Amino acid sequence: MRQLQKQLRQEAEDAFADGHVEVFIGYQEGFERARPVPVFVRDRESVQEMVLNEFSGVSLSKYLLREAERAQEDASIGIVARGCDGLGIERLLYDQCISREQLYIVGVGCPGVVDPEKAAQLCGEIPVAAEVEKQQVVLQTSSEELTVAKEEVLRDKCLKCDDPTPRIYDALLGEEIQRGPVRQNRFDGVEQLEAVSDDERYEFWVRQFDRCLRCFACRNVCPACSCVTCSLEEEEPQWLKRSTSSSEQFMFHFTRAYHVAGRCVSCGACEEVCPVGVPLMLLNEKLLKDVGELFEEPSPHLPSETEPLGEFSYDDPEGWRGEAGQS
Amino acid sequence: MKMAAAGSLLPLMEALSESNDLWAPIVEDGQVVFGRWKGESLPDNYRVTDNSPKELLLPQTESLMRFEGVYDQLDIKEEPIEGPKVAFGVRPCDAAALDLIAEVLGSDDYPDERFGQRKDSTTVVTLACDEAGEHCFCRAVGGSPASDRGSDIMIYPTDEGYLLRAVTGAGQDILRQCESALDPAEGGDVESAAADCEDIEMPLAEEISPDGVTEDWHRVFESPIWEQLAGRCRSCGICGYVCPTCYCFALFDDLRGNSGVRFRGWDSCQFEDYLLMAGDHNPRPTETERTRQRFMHKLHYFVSRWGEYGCVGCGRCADKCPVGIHMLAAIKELEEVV
Repeated sequence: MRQLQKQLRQEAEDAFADGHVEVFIGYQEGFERARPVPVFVRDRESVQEMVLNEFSGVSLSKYLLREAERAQEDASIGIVARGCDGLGIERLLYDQCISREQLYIVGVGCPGVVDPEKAAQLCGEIPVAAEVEKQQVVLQTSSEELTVAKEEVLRDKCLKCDDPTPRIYDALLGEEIQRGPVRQNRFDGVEQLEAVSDDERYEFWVRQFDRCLRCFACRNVCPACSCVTCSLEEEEPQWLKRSTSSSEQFMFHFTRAYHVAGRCVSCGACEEVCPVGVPLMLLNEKLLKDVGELFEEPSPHLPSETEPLGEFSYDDPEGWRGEAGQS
Repeated sequence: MKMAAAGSLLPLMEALSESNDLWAPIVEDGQVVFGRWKGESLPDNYRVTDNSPKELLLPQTESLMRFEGVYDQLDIKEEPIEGPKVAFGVRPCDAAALDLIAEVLGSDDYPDERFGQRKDSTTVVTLACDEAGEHCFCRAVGGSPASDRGSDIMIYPTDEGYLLRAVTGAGQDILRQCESALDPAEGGDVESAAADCEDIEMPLAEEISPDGVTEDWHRVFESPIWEQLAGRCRSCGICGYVCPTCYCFALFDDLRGNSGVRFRGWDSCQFEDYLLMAGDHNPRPTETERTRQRFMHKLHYFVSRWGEYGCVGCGRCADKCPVGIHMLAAIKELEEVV
């Protein structure tokens, strides 16, 4: 990764030197080394602040919305993208929130990102460095080196990732990591929940949603949630009441999940930011699984021109206004 | 002074739950949350709960009154307040935070009756800390891992077991209720037990100090740091909602025809619409002003009004902010400019 960081800085510097990039979205050192934070580099000199390491994995794609709004018309926005952010960027492109010409994407073939909490559990302290290898991860603390299995220490979302390398980029750091077949375990959690009785499942969700603080972090980080005004914040009519009764919590979570049904790129950012551990990806994956099965889509999370729920066709077998096959 | 019988807090919790509505840290789907007790021991090695116990005194949302009718035929029914509670296993920082909120919501000028009633009817049983968590810094903001501020009963973990001390009369009453779960504390030394907790290692509290920031607040206010910090803010409400000292709320009416319910619910200064006024004027239009407000409030405005920091150093903002905008980061960055 050290090598990749050097390359990234070079790419960013060249982009500024060419003069067509106005801002470059990446990572910088945070309060702790194992928790890098997003940075918006606006000049060539500041490029050296950028880091790229085994911990820098906070989702960046959604920032493009704001930066695109602020950017000069002909200026480009640079962004470093792992596979998940690559899909997030595609989402914004297909939703016509940004244009491809506006972007300078530096892709990363991503071996997975280390979860600092998991690492701290294993090491007894937050490690200062890590190296993600093929099957294992080497963690470096202030006093020792620890080799652990990937499953133990990578972020949950990385363990289910099918898309390590972005599908679109202008430059790629490191090797392209081939996307494998869709993981067999991908829908394990959904299937387990499908197997229990309706009442048990209902109780499960009541318990999860009961913890929800309505901080809206899940929505704010989601690259598929790009509405200028979210319907859940409208005052007239007020679709979502501020009460946190079960019915209103269901209203919030189902509205959020259905609004991204068939559009969720499975980046896992929503679940990752949730401060109280609501398993939001279970909802998203349930809808992805259904879309996959009902519309015979092998990879329903990949954005495309013809998304089952994103396209209207006069030949739709279910017709228009309820009359099969009629326009 | 008493010891918890058999070196365990479980019998005490059981005894307390017999005639009280007991709330405590519980494990729910792998999360440690402060919730209604369900019969389990306290979670192993928890530091602070994901949510703060402020929820007990200032619920996330609550209905204030129900109303029906129009103008002079308006029938208003105030929503009753739930009965007394015992909050068990609260951490010293969180207990102190309840006291801080009470400065504001319990002030003589504008007392918040519902908050006040709940505060009076909630018994706080605090468990002193024998280890600091990753982001603990209470000592840097005037707190202590052994502080009894805001508590009715203190529990000090010692090698021999848990030593209990009633801080208030209400605490004494509660302890009397559960004699069966207590042993006399023979030879137990509460002073040294408290001192042990007081002295635990807390590296971050040595590392950072907000004093300079507070003193030099004019410079801090104008600092370019805010724009840098706020650049990555996602405008979500995590920091304020997990913070034990944030107390802002807003009022909402849920109307159906001529009847309705008036609610209040937490609000956050990090939301864009928090200060949005009629005519679309927003005094804090961007993340920069909103981020600055959050830290200035805790490090300066609160200090000048109430004489102490509006932060208790629990570290939840550092645990939970997905992009690292938290009290520790802010103080560290600002220390460099003052």
